[in-house]
Amino acid sequence: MMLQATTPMILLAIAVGVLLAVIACKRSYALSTLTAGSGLFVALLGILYAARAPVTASGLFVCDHAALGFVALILLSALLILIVAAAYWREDTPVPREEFPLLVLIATLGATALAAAGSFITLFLGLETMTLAMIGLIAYPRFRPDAEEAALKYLILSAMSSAFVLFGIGLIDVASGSLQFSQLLAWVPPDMASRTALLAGLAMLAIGAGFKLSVVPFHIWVPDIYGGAPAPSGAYVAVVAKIAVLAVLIRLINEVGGTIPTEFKTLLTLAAILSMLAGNLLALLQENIKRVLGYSSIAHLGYLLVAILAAGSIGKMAVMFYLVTYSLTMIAAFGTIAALSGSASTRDTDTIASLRGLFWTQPALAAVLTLSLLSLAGIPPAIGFIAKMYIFAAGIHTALWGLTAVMVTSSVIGLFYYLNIILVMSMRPGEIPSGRLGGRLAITALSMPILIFGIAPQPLVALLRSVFG
Amino acid sequence: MTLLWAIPALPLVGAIVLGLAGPALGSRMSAIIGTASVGLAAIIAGCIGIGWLQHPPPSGAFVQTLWTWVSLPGLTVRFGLYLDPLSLLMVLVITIIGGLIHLFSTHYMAGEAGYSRYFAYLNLFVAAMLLLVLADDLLILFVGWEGVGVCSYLLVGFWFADPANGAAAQKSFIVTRIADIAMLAGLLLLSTRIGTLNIHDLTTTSAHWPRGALLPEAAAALLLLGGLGKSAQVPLHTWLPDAMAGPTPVSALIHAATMVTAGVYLVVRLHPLFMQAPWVMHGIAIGGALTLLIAAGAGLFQTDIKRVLAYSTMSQIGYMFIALGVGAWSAAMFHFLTHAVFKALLFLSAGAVTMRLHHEQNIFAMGGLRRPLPLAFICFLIGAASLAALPIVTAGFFSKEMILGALWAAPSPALWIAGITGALLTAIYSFRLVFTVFFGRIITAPSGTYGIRILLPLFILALAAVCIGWLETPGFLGGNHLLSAFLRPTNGTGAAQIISPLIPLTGCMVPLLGVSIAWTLHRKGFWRMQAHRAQTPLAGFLKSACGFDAAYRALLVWPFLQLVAALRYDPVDQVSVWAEQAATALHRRLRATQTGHLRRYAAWMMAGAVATIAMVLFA
Amino acid sequence: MMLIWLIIVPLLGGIAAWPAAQLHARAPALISLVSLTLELALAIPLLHPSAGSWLVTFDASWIPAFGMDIRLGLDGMSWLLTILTIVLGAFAAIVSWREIDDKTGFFHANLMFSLAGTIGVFIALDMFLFFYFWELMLVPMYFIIAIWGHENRRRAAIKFFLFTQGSGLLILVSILALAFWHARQTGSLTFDYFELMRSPPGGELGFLIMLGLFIAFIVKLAAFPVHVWLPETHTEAPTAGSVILASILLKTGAYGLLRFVVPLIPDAAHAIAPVALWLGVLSILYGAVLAYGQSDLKRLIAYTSISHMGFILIGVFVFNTIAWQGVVMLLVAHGISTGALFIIVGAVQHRLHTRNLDRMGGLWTDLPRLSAFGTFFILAAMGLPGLGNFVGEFLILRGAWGVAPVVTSFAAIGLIPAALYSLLAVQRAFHGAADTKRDVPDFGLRENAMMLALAAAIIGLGVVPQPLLDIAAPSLRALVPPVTAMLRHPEPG
Repeated sequence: MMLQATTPMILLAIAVGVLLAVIACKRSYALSTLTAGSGLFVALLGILYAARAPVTASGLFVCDHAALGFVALILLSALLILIVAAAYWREDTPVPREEFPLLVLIATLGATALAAAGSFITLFLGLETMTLAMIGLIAYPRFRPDAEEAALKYLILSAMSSAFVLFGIGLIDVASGSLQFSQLLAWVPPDMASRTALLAGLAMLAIGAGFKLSVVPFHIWVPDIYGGAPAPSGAYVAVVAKIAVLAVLIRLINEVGGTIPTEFKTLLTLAAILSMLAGNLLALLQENIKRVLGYSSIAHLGYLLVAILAAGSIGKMAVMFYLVTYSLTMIAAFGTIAALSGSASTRDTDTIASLRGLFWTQPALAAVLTLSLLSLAGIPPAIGFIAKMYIFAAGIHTALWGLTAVMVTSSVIGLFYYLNIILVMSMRPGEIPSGRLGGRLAITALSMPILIFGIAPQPLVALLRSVFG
Repeated sequence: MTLLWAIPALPLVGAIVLGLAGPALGSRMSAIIGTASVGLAAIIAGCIGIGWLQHPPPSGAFVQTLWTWVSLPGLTVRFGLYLDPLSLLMVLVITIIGGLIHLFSTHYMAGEAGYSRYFAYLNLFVAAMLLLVLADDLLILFVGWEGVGVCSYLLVGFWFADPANGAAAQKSFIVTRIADIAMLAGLLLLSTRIGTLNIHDLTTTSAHWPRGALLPEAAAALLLLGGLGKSAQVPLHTWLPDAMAGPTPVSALIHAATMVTAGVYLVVRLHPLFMQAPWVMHGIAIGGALTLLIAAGAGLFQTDIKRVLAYSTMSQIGYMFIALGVGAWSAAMFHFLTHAVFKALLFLSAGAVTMRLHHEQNIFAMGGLRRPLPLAFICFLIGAASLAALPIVTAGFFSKEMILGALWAAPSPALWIAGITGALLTAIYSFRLVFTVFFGRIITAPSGTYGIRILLPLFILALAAVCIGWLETPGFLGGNHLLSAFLRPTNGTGAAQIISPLIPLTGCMVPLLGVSIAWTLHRKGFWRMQAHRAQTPLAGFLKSACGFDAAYRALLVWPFLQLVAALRYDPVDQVSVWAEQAATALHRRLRATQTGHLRRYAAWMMAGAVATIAMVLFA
Repeated sequence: MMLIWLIIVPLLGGIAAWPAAQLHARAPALISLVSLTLELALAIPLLHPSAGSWLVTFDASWIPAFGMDIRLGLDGMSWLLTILTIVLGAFAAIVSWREIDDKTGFFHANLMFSLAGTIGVFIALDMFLFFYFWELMLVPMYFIIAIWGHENRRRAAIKFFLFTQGSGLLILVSILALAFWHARQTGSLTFDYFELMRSPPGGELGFLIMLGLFIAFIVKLAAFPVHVWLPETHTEAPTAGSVILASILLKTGAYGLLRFVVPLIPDAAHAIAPVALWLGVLSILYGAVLAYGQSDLKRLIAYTSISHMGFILIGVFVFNTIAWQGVVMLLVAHGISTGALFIIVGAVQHRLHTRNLDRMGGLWTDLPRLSAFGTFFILAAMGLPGLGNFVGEFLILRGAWGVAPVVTSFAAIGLIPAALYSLLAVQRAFHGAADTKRDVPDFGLRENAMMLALAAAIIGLGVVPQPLLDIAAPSLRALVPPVTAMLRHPEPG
């Protein structure tokens, strides 16, 4: 039974093995990308098979529909990022490119494990697998000093957060004597001491999560890592990691009956407000797009927290819809940068100034970037508009007026820098590094959903309902 | 009579044609269209008038509703024309004098740039003026009312190259506009209270209002303000002298014969309403008296021939207003008629003089012109005599007599005294003009000749200025009452006046006295000395018509300009600037935390972690 | 079905115009003109004497999860504004023929998109759909200003966007709150205009919802003190942009107030009325005084718009049919007159390369036709009786007098500075002596034709206003029932 439910992970693991073999036999970036891609694709198909026999009783894994949904989202994002990477890595890169897809696969394996974790063991294993692979992803172009630096910073800081997580797990185990989510959350602390231990443990888990989600006050690493990492890795850090962690968070919340424990309410509220404001304010006059995206991701996680706090039926859907939107948009945004950058050069073309006149030199890419920026800003016809509406709806439905007000203010602030980028793209052309045709096409293609679901969101809504509702 | 609509329509069509096809037509064609359209209107008006005299409609009025302008619950306005003796009289005056002045202009304006534009404006003015007097709804009247204002603005500023003309034009429009806003408020008040602005319904309704109640007083006062503005009465008179910047025929038509008397027309038209507002009536009388004296006083000191005439116009309209103030509607209309004729005559002949002197308008640069310009002299003399109301031989005499008689009948003698004083002053300044310009030695020799297009209008007007007086004569001269009889359907029977023989006698004597004073001063060379001698403060005060202009500049214009200067750069906009600065400042603060130093980051994360745990534990 | 085409046609036109620039630089303009003509042909027949106030409606499912449908409806008022949009949009396309010479494809695409959005705003009957279009019309406008505008276009564009978008979020919050409140009452979540009208929320919530909408709409209307985005935007936008902004986009604010605020939350609307009225007065006076102070002709006209919108604000919030009729009339008339004025200023700038009044003067000698039309439309905008704007202003004042005499008097006083700045503009631009002989062409056939059409329209409105009033009447009558019930002063007469 368990096996059928965990098919995707198993397939993924197999794919990793196969890919290792492939690379060992023949160095060919195309081939390894193809293998990795097909591995992800097969895993995606595997979900359909797994969904027939969902396992809700928690062993190491909980593979209910929700979990599988998250896994699907993760696999999809990974696949898209693989495409972005294909558009990014050029032949003239001074390092062998074949291992990049491998790292993606491994990280994704970790992410899926995390998303479907039913016990703290799996949680930690998944987390670490993902993190370590991601460090590889960030540092991949090792000829780039700032990539190295970013990787190092990420390594140390995430080690710190992992330490917290581990300590937290320990505390929980000591207090409750169990590592199963379900048992833990069913368990009522007998005395003050164990209750304190439990809370402290959970708080430390929250710290770990906060770090990966880069919400204030754990956002501090964002600019350096996003700025230093090559575009595809940046996308991975921005999207997949966050999906996986959110999946766990939401699972934990659902386990306790869909509402945040009162002890965490003020914490999350505060984090949400600070993230929304700080994220947007930090991005305000930033002139590096990857950093801008990083900062704006802080704000977006803030919005997501609002939806999580709102909870309720609308809140839940809001989280999912926003997550999908966020993933699609971020990947598209990083994708355009990837398509513009030469992986051989010592840095990506990621300064806003370098996009000058993109509208007239590369209309397609400019349109994609504009669309994703509009989506991030929450303006029709991009999907982000519907997503923002969803979050507002959640907030208003549960009368979180304060948070709603902050959202309004911060979105207005946010508009400024999104518009500024669009503005620069519309200026008189400067010199533009030309992306490759294939890459451009790929990016354009994968940005289509942003537009389509922005105009007719119903199918997506229905799908998410059937999976998570 | 069914052709009534054509009377305003013809000049309008003329204006549109001239406006659209203007320069393409060439000056000759423009002149023909411009004059013919008004001439035709005059002929139609004449026919209608004759038809009226033969068998007037039983109701005493003829209404022609053209279309429904606005029809809403609580407000219905029909676009209709209302012809009764009053409007018929006005129409005749406007079209006939207007036609003559068009004819005069065709020569006077010859060779000017924008010749066709001039006639377009002039036709448009005539159309608007006709709409004003024919409207059977106050709102339609208001359309004409503003229309004439705009045309006046455009024509005063016709020579736009000179900024001074532009300023004069703006002033004339703004001042009257201010008055018109008051009038608009009056219209709003009335239409809100009685749900209609149809003049006939209005007059019948208002007749039943309690006399001296707030509503009629307020409504009448607001409407009156509009009238004062258009008719250049104190305190809204300051625009008229400056308006002389326009071409002389324009001054003759707009600022003497027709537009400036619109206020008089308005009051007569709505006299049932005004009769319910005694206080306003007193106001009218007093305002009229003030204007009469102030303007006459100013007229004594002007050096520009047209400005003299402008002030005389003001004071003559002052007479009409006094008459209105004591309810002598027919007397007012009679004076309107005669004044229209002789003032048009005066302006045209003044124009005829100046056009021979290269548009020199300073009277002290003229002199002894009666020999070189006999015809102009005679016409001007007739006009001046009529203005000064020399007994028997002039039209002005009879109309002024009628008013003075009515004033004598009025309760307080003050008005009559004012009137008689005014008569004296008028005689003095009008003949000061005659003697200075046409007597003594020649200073500048005229050049050029007159064409028939100049002389014909002059002769016709001169003839009229002598004769039309006999329409209405005091008892001892046969006591004709043709005009008041004609106007009776509109005005009702005026109060029968008991005239003691003393009154006409004074009326006859005073002008003669004035003329003789003017003559003696002329002989002494006083007038010319006055021009050179330094001005006494009093003289200056009188010349500036009691310094209203300066007062307004200090009390209204200056503060407004200060306000404009203070707000010019939109202070409210600062708020958005502040918001911008605040956001930027916050950004810099936060940016400072992103040092890029790993140890700082680690410290930051530790602090965050501690805070988190603390919050959870002590929540 | 017809209605959805009203939105699709310009969208398609825009999509077609975009690449057309490769064929020929003028092709996009041609395409947008063609599609707008088609649009007009579609729209005009929709007007027919009908029993109810709605001429035609359309309904299709969109996001059932939230009870959001594609509900469209056209009544007299929307029909008028739609026609206005199409016609002035066409004129905007025509003026761009000369003025815009680079990236014409993208320009006309944006032009068409913004028009599509505007028309959507005028015919949407689903609150969320309305908001969707409301947002949709911003982005293209932003591009038009930011790319083809004048010197400070970027700042102006961003300011424009921030203000409208920020207020847009208020709309979003309000309509969501409204919908959820309604859902709590009836148990069904819907954004249907008519459904929501059935149960108007009262109390504090009602007031807050109304406040959100009110603020958003007066920002769009550019009433004092939230007008600050307008002068800069109008001044920096290219002629076509200014025309669209002043003649059409401002009107969406008034439309929102009249269509949504008044009927959906009547009690709260009445509660805010005094404030609204005084804001109207302030807008009138403030706009007029500032207009007098400007030396940039375009900016001057922009400020006059603020002044005129003050009348609109007053007219909406005195709650009676006469004033509302005046509002509709003034919306159309102001659209025409201001559009014409911006076209003229654009022409002047195109010829003289300046908008500065100090560098003009004596234009009448060199450009008589342009100056004549300019004077005409300035006088029209001033509210000269016999022209459309006067009818609107008079009806508004007439309707307001019975409800709020003091406010009305102040509003009427605002007509005096109106005369001041109008004559000042005429004096400084067209009259006076020409300092230098300029050899620039006067209005040609194309411009004369446009001007004559607009002039004819404005005269027609002024001389025979009744037909327009009749068209608008049913929509306004539909507003009356919820409102007159609680009218504080019974309508006199």
